[in-house]
Amino acid sequence: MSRRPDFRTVCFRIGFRAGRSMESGGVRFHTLALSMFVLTLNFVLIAGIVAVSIERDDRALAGVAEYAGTDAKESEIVLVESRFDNLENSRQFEVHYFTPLGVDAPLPPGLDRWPEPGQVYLSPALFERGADESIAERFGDFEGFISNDGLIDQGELLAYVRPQTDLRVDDKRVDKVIDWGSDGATGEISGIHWLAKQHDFSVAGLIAFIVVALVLPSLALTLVSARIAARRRDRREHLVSILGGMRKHLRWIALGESFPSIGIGFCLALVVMVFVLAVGLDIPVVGFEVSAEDLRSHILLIVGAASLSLAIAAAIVLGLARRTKIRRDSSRLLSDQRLRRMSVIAGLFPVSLAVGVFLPRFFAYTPSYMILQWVGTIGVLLTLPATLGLLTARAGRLLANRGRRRQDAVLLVAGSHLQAQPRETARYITGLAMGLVLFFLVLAYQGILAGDTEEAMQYREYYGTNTILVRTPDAASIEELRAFAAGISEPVEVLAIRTEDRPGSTSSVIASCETLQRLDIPCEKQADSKLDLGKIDALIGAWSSGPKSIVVEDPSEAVLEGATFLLVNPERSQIEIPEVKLAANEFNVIVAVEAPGRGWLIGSMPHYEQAEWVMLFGMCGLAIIGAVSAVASAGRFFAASSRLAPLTAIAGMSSQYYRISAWLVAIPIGLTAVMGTIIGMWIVRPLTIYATKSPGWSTAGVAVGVVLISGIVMWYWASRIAIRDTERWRPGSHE
Amino acid sequence: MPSEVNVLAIADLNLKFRDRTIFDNLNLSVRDGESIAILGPSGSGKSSLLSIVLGLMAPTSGSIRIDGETMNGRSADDKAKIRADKIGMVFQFAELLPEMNPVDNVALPALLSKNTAMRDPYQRAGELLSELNVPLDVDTDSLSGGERQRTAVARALINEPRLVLADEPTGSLDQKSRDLVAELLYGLPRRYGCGMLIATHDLQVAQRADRIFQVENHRLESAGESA
Repeated sequence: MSRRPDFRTVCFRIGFRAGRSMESGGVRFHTLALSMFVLTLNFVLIAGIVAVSIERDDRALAGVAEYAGTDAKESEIVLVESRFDNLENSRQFEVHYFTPLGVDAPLPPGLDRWPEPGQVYLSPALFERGADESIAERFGDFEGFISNDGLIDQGELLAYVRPQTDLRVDDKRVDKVIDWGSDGATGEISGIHWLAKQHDFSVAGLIAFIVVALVLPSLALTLVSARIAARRRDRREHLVSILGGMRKHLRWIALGESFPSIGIGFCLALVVMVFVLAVGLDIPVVGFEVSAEDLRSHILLIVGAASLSLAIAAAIVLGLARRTKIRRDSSRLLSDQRLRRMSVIAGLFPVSLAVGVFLPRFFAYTPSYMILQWVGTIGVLLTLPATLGLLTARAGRLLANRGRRRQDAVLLVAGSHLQAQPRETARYITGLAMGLVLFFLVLAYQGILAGDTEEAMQYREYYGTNTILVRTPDAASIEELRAFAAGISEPVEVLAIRTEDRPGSTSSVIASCETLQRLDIPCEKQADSKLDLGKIDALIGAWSSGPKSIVVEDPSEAVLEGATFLLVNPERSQIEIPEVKLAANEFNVIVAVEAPGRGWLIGSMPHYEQAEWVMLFGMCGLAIIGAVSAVASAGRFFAASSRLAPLTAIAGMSSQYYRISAWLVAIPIGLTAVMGTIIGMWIVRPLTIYATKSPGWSTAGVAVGVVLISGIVMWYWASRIAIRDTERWRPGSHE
Repeated sequence: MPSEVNVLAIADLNLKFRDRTIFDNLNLSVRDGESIAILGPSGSGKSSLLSIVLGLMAPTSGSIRIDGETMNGRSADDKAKIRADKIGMVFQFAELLPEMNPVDNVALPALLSKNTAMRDPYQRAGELLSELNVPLDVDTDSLSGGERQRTAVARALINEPRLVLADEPTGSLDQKSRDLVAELLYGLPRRYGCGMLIATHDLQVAQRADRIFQVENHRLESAGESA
């Protein structure tokens, strides 16, 4: 007697065989595989961020300084002075100067021996990115790289310098360190990596953004993929239910049917995951290097995240396998009552838009400005579904009527479909429109933060760098100053800025008569507070926190007192800041070189770089939302095309599907992309009107392009599938 | 009385799938004004025969002529044009588009085939539906089974075909509707000047045809003629 097979095996096999029949050209198979691939990668991305963050924090803790107490032995102390520097168009980094006082002084993280006086160790990223600025020569003699275990990540910009002249124990700027590393009990990161950590994007914020921008759209993609081309599957489930099948049977059938596509999507994601685990990843756009070692250190977390994505996808597929009725889309036109209700809600859409866009300007510089903007934005988001539903119904009616008038079958079919099922169409395009509006909102808020950078860049472009500030902490010698000036290829006049050491005092420019004359400025032998500083350089004139008067005096004396130098090119051409920084090596003390006001630009760079993350993930999210809309709309199109197949097969007009699909798939997505972008750009106008950096037409173009690609790909694919299905149609081949 | 003009002529038709013979030297002609029923159980080859007549399936050998025009050796586009111009088809499940009203459904084949000879497809669709007692100003979803099938019949007639094919046209109907639809269908050839080929497994429906054939031994054997 043969053994009765287990119901799970039987049902799984039924589903597995059914899955191979590939309804509608296997579109469900492919889209489900794609959604699983994207979902898994997104979960792995979050796990990867957590893993990298933990490892970065650990390495940051390893760089926390333990300061010497009064009982510390001198031989165990290393003197540390830290200075900020930056590359052009880059965020600041720290340069740590070390002078070990004895053989037991602790080596900083990433070094295995003390550099000799004058030697420099750089992080690989700083060496590479600063190559154009001769960064290897800026601080002394380049000796080697700080090893990766001494950096919080491979992209960290960091320099270790052992100065030619030892740091002094009695210098107030110098720290006495007896060890490196902390258990993190205080929760604060200080020491070697303090600045790098200060620049970090909030990890929780980044993950929250990824969940909203990537994970939720991926889940939506999984959901619509699981439902696409479901006609035959619905009938099967209905039949199994009628034959006495219970929910568990349906679930095992669904599992068998979806297993191959989900499995392939998951395996492809695993391939990518294993590749990244093996060699790491250089994230495009933002240029962040993910260390493979960091990821491997949290392999269980990453595998767990991947498994969780698999479980969630399976839950979605199984959750849908519980209906016992064949889903029939209502094709009755919307009732007048419902249309009226939709019209009322849709009527609030322009009102909300006006409240959000126009009203705030009447309440500038009051709390109502932002409140009205938000009220308008929320109103727009709430009224958008009804508006799009109504627009779809109206557009469908217009299209169908036009089809009747022009006797155009394509317009008639597409228009009738849109008119009869506006909610279904509106549902998938609403998600897209909302995604675009939210994308522009996020960009606008990030742009407010990053706008400083754009503005600072514009100032730099306008004023140039024919004036450079050189700050020395101590007095410098005339010889050092001459050697320094000689190291600059451009002709420079040396002026000084002196600030009196009393509260409320303003600073003055100190220049010799000869210098002023060479700068075409009339020389008066006494202090002249009325002299326009802008004549020296427009930038100095516009420098709000800068000097307010000119003192005619030999700047050498001020130099000896430790004033700040002002280098001015009498030919009013640009001075290369990296070259000045290189020449500053002539000083025996550590000096800071920058263009006046450049701190504005440098300080805002982290927000500017964070905006690139928002742009990257936002665009990826838009691409996924575009795919959701495209897949969902293709599902609607297949429902229409399968009903149309017998007629088009007989009439031999299957090529008309390109046009029908264009009206049902590509055009709604394209119009929604444009509309969502315009609404998004408009609604954020009150937020960006005072900001220099705002989502512009280029961003809008990219956003529309990203979404359109999904629509165009799906339009072509869906058309081909419909044509093939029609060409395969035969009398009696009813599904 | 049917005329002597053949609207469908099938000669020496052979159809084989690998080692399986479906048709072996099958011959059939349908005259203008004549109705012919092909009787046979599911899987006997009725649908395959309709597919071959429609030019959607290529026979192993043999010739098919529709209203004097051969389907053999023609391109897919040419076959489609012959289908659109000369053939109307009634399906088992009516296959109406629910989002369109009955008039749109009936007019659709004329719009698809861009039948320029027709003055106004919508006017003709309305006339046909009125003749067949189908209400015009209703949703397709609200039509009864018989009304849906009559709408499908009107749609098959919209391009003034020379040949109407019907694939189990009463298969989805109750007995009353079945009788009404069958009566309507068999009246078409004389009323609209065309030939009709009905594939059915229902003997009662088949018996109303001018001639009845049964698929036996891969050929069509006469199973009787109407009185």
